[in-house]
Formats: sequence, structure tokens, C-alpha cells
Amino acid sequence: MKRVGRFRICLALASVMATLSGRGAVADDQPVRSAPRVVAPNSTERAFSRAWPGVVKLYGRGIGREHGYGTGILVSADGLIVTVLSLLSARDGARVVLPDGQTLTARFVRKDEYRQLALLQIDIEDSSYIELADSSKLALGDAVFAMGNWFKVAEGREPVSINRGIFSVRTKLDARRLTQDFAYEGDVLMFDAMTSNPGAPGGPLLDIDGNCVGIIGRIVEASATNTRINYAIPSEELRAFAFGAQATSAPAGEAEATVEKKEGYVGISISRLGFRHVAPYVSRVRAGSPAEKAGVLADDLILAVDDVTIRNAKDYRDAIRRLKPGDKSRFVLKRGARIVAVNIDVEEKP
Amino acid sequence: MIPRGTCIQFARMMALTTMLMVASDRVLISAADDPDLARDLTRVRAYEHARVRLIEECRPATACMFDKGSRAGGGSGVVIDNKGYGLTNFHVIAGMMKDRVGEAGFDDGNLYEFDVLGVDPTGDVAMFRVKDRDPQRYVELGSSSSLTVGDFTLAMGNPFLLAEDYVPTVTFGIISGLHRYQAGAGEGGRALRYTDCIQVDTSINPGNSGGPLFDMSGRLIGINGRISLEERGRVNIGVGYAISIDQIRRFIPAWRAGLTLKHASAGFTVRDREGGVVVDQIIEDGPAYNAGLRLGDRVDVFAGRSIRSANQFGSYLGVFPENWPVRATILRKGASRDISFRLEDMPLPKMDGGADPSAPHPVTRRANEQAIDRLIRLHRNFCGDEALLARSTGLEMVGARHYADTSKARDDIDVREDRRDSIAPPPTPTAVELERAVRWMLISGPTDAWRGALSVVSSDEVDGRICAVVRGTPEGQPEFSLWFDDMDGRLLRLSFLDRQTRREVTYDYSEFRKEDGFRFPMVRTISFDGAEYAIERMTRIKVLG
Repeated sequence: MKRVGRFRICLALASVMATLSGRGAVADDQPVRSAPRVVAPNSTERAFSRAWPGVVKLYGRGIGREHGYGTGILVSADGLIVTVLSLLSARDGARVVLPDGQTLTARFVRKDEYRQLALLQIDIEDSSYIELADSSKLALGDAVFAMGNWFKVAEGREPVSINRGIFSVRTKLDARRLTQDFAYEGDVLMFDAMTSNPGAPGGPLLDIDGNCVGIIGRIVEASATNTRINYAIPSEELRAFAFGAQATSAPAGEAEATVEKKEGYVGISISRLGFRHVAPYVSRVRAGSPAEKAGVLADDLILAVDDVTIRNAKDYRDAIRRLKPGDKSRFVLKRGARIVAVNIDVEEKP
Repeated sequence: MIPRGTCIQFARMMALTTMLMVASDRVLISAADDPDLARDLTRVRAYEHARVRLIEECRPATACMFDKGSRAGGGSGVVIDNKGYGLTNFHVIAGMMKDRVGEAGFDDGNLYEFDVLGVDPTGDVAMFRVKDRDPQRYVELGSSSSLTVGDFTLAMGNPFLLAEDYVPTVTFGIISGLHRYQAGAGEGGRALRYTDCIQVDTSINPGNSGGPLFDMSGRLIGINGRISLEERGRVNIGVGYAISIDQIRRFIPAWRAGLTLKHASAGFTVRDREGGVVVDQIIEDGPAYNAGLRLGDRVDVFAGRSIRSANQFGSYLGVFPENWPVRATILRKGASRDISFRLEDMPLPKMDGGADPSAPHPVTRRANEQAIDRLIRLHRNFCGDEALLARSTGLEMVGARHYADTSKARDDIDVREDRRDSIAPPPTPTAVELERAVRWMLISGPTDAWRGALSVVSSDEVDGRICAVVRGTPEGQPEFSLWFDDMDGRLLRLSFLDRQTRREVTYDYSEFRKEDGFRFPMVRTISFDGAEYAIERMTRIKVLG
């Protein structure tokens, strides 16, 4: 982690200051109560001061619940910024406010629909940035800190907010965003700090020493309970997205794990009505695709893929994700009143 | 400061405890095998024990605030001294403004009546006084300027009115941000504005309003009053705001006396330019203008804080009461100069229901009398032991007077003040006689006539000390004003219009020293119409009698 001197000066104002009035001189009208003197440990301050120079405020396009502001993490000295995918980040022109108050306009580099992340870049040399750490070292119950500009309560050079929590569990989510399923299926880090607030997504999740172990994810709700989830996408995913397999900073074993898996392709679109559990009807079959070659038609209802029952669009997506190029997959379809079975030769995604 | 390593250790241990609670058996067994873990565990428990004790200390001062005779709705409050003075939000007591009474429940399970004293509709704070509670359990005021992001905090109060027995709810969290601004409501956003406030992840919810935010020494650092809300209804989502105690401290002397102070406006506005601010509008002949501020000047430092944006300036300005003295460093054409002036006022927000908080009311009239009694008692305690004050018949002072006009030679001082002569000045006293009379009147304990002529009129700051300003209008004597340190009662300033010279005479007292059990200012600075005239330095004080 690189640091800029002046940020630390601001934080150093923390030193103890005497109160204004000479309380010691007060006579019996104001007896001095003997309170237990607990020295407050402040590891938060340390974590905060390490991460702060690498956290940026983002502003841009928004509509309705897509808030026009957010948070991002500088991940390289040449101005690469990772944030969550949103209306604001999926295009050129997001306004980036650096911790010193400087405002720059970001260029859109790429996005990752699956992880729901976006990579932006600003023109800057020798910038402060946050080195992505290893989230696997987090143990259950470890203190974690979340940073971000929720409710855009900070502006200009004012420091963003920080909330404290403990690491609760590493798990997979069954969640949705508004009416859409949340596709990301990798592990997430869950914790009890409140981060499911506007502007928080894209901020870093820090361990007790201020190492970045994840990025606060988009606001999603648990499918089962409808309640918002406080979670982060682990730093490994972040690194894989931002630096790909070439990432030199990643340990060898990890780099291998992040090599992108080749996705299987069948060429079927499922009808979407914008609701959650849509019956998995085929809306369109791509010309020349394996599905067309196997004889799948629009309006077929998919009943099963490789003997796994398909109840909804999510089940279908899950099934497709398991397929690899070269697989032979058996689809059971309902066409009108008839049940049809077809074998599809899975190809590599074009 | 404790070493960094220790801080981290502590926080690690905090995390460790949580883990222990999750998987107690296994970890506890390994703690027995692992001396490091066992030692950490002991320290965690010591820390937790201290926290629990702290909560026990602070809890009896926390109040559950209700309308009189009603248990519906309500908020929280906190008592700040042994006379039962307490703080809450204005929006908690706004409905009680007509009769200025309410009821507060404490952790002893009892309800006590309180009076609503001074209020602050702009800053959302109000002072109350609990009646007939003995002893009055209270907490000390801390300082919000020494806070750091990440400091642990405790909030207490009555969220969701859970405390049927008035034992407050406690929540624990950290400071998420400092110097935050949350815009106000009403015309011009002048009602319930949170300026330069404290942001916490400590859970505060509806009903916590007006309750205390404590640091981990149990000192009051803020009054909880607002949370950020989104679509999930009126519940905490990790973002709460507390009004800083440093802001509140400046208003307290006036509020004790039932007064309503307006907030300040600057008398000029600023605009962002090149990482700082410049004056873009100014009221001609206003105090800032008269102090030398002009259009286009860069305001570099304002009231001790370096100013980097117009928004930051606006937020910081909100912590000052009207007429407050401030210093500023301004830059013009590369040259820097310091100016000092008094701030202007900002109108009070319009009240729903029309109750004017500054209208006379029997409750506030009584509060003012009690505030005077308190100040005189504090002042006399400060000056010396009661028996000594009663016994003394006068003072002998030896020293020298140095004139501001250095061409004048210094005068020696060798004065003997007799209490009985001093206290009864002639009908048209000289400045010296009047100063002496007022001082001895305070030391002796004023007669009813003197006593009835005194009232608290404002808060102010002298030498960095927050003061109560008292006006005296004794019959047949000149009017005068007194500045008392609101915490210890020391007299810092006396000012009056001298009838003979038609000039405003001001005595500033400093360098207090205790001699013969009698505490006395060794230095007096005398000014005429704000210009320093002379400094009197005493070398020896002797109490007679």
C-alpha cells in the first residue's frame, strides 16, 4: 500500500486535547466523578488510514434505485479503479473524486456481468492504490471494516465513512436484485456491518490491519427472506477481474485458479418477463447454434437438462454453466402437447 | 497514547471473543493449552468487564423522555450535572413548549417531572432540568474535537420505547465519520440542521433521539438525533448522526437560564476557489467588514480550523451561536493577516403551532434566577472557602500598573480594599469604585436587592473559556455586564459604561492564583471602548480579617 503524506497528517489530529475548562479547580458544586478510564483501542483508525488514499467517490448517471453515486477502489498506480457494475460505471464519463478532492473523469475499460464488476481508468501517474490481499486468511469472527460513501455523506476531500463488523461466513448467495436473480455464484464474504446502502457498493472490505479482502457488492436481497444482505465479493475475484490470469502479484497457485474456464454454448435464449420465476420457455434459438442443429424451436418449454429438472430460468442458467465445450447434452422439451428429447453438441462460446 | 501494537491486539481480542462465543467449547479447551490465547482471553475479559462497569456508571444519567402524563411517543435525554440539568433533542420536547414540562424515566424505575429550559430549534438541542431527584446522577461532558474516526462509542436511550422500566438500551459501535453535514428542514433549512456532526455505526433508532453518545471514558461527546433512511422504513441502517458536544457547550450557559440563542451567520458568504474559499458577498458595515474583511479575500483559517471548501465553511459555521467571537486568518494579495470579529445571527425557524421559544414564560424566568444562584455559588466556591469569605474584612494588594502607552511611566499599586466600604459605593461611583463594588458584592453573596438586579443574558467566549454573560441593573447604579466561566464560576470580565467619561470600561481578569486560601486574578487588563489602556499586575495579595 502506497501512502501519501498529507492524508496521514489529517488523521494525526487525533491526539488528545485538553478540555477547555479547568475542571480540576472546581469546588464541591461540581464533584469530579471517578469514571473507569478505558483506553479505547483504535485499530479502525489504522485500517482507515491505510486504505483511505485508495478509496474514491464516484458520481454519474442514475435512475430510480440506480443511485447516481458510489465508491471505487484504486488498484494500480496508473489509475485502474474497480467498482461494481451499474448505470454509473458501465460507460465512459463517471466522475471520480480522489481522496485529496481532485476530480477526474474515468474511462470505461471493461465489465464483468457475472461478477457484477466494472473496471474504470483515470489519467493519473503514480497514484496511491490499494493492494488486493488474500481473503482466505479471514477467520470466522475476525473484525472487518467496510468503507464507502454511503448516502454521499462525504464530498470533495472529506473522508468516506467506515463501519465495523465481524466476518460471519464465507458462503454462496441465493439472492436477487430487485426482480432479477443475482447470477454470481462464487463465494461471498458475509459480515454484520451495514453496507447494503446506496453508495456503499464498490467500497473495500478491510481486515483488521487494513488489508483489502473484498469489495462491497451491489445491493441484493435474500431470495428466501427478502431482506438485504451485507456481503463482499472476495479480493481473489477482484484480482482475477482486474488483472486476469497475467496478474503477477498473485501467488502462482492462485493465478492458476483464476484462469478463465471456457464456457459451454448451446444458443438458446429463455423468455424473460422481468419476474423472478419464469417458466423456462425458449424465446429464441440462435441461427447456426448447436440448439438449432439439434432441432430446438422457439416456444419449447425446457423440462430437463441431463436428467436435472429445470423449473425456472435460474435452474436453466445453472445447468448451462455446468456444460463444457464437447459435451453431449440431453434436453427434454415440451412442444405443444408432446414431450421431445434432443441431444445437443455443446460448442465453445463464439 | 498507547502503542499501536496494543491497539491492534485489543481489537483482535475483541474479534476473538466473538469467535469464542460462537464456538466456545473447542476454543476454550485450546486456550488452556495455549498460554498466548489464555492471556489474550484474560485481557479481553478485562476490557469487557471495564465496558460493563462503564455502562453501569453512565446508565443512571440517561433519561427516557415523555410528554407529561403520556407514555406514547417520547425520546431520550441525559443529565449533565448534579443539579439535574440535562440535554435532549429539540424535536423530542417540541410538543411540550406550551407548558414547558415533561416527565423523564430513569433506571431506578421512577418518573420525575422536568422543566424545559432553553431550546435550540435550529441545532435540534434543548436543555431540561429534572426536579426532585436525589441524588441527581449525571455524566461529564467530553470533547468532540479529540475524537478520531474508528473510536468506540456507546449510545444509550429508549429506542422503540422498549424500556418499560426506564432502564435504557445500550448499543456499541464506532465513529464512522466526523465533520458531517445533514441539511435542515423548513424555510431556508433552518430547522433541525446537523452541522459538523458525528457519524456513527452505533445503532440508534427512533426513540434514541436526544440520548447520549459516550466515548469509552464515559464522557458525553454528542446527542444522538438523526439517522439516514432509505426504503426500509424508520430503522437504523448503520448510519446515525450525533450533534457534537463542542457545539452544544457554547449554548449551555444560555440554555440553563431558559434563553433561546439563535445560530450564527457570518455576515459574508464564500465561494470555492483553487482549493480554498474567497469572500464573494459581504454585509457592509457588518462586524466582519468592520474588522477589515473585503470581497475577494481568501479565508484561510476560521475559528481555528483551516477552510478548504464553501460547504465545509458552511457546516462549521453552524456550530456557533449568534454574536460569537471568532478569529480568522485572511489572505489578500499574498499577505496574511489575522482579524477578530463577532458573528451575526440567523433567524430562528418558524415554529409549527406558533409557540415562540423566546417568549417569556414562568418556567424560564425561574430558570434564569436559578442560573444566577448557580453562578454565584460557583463563583464563591472558586474564590475560596465559605468560612474564609465570610471572615475576611478586606484585601491588601501590591503590584504595578503598566500603561499601553509606553511613554507613560508605570505606577506602583499598594491598595487596601475594605469590604464594608467597597460594597456600598456612592451613588455616582467612579470606574474603580464600581469595579470594586461588584467584585465584593459577588464575594460577600449579594443582598436580595443586588440579587434581583442580575440576570443571565447570553453565552460567550473569553480566553477560550465558555462563559455565561450576566447583566446587572441595580437601582441607582450604572448597568454592568459580567462574564463567568460556566464550569467553575471564575469571573473573567466586567464591563460597564463609565458615566463620567462616557466610555465603555472593561476589566479582563487572568492568571488566577490562590493565596491564603483565597483565589484571585493576579492580572487585570483595563480597556476603554475596546482599546487596551493598562495592565495591572499584582505581586502580592493578602486577605484581611
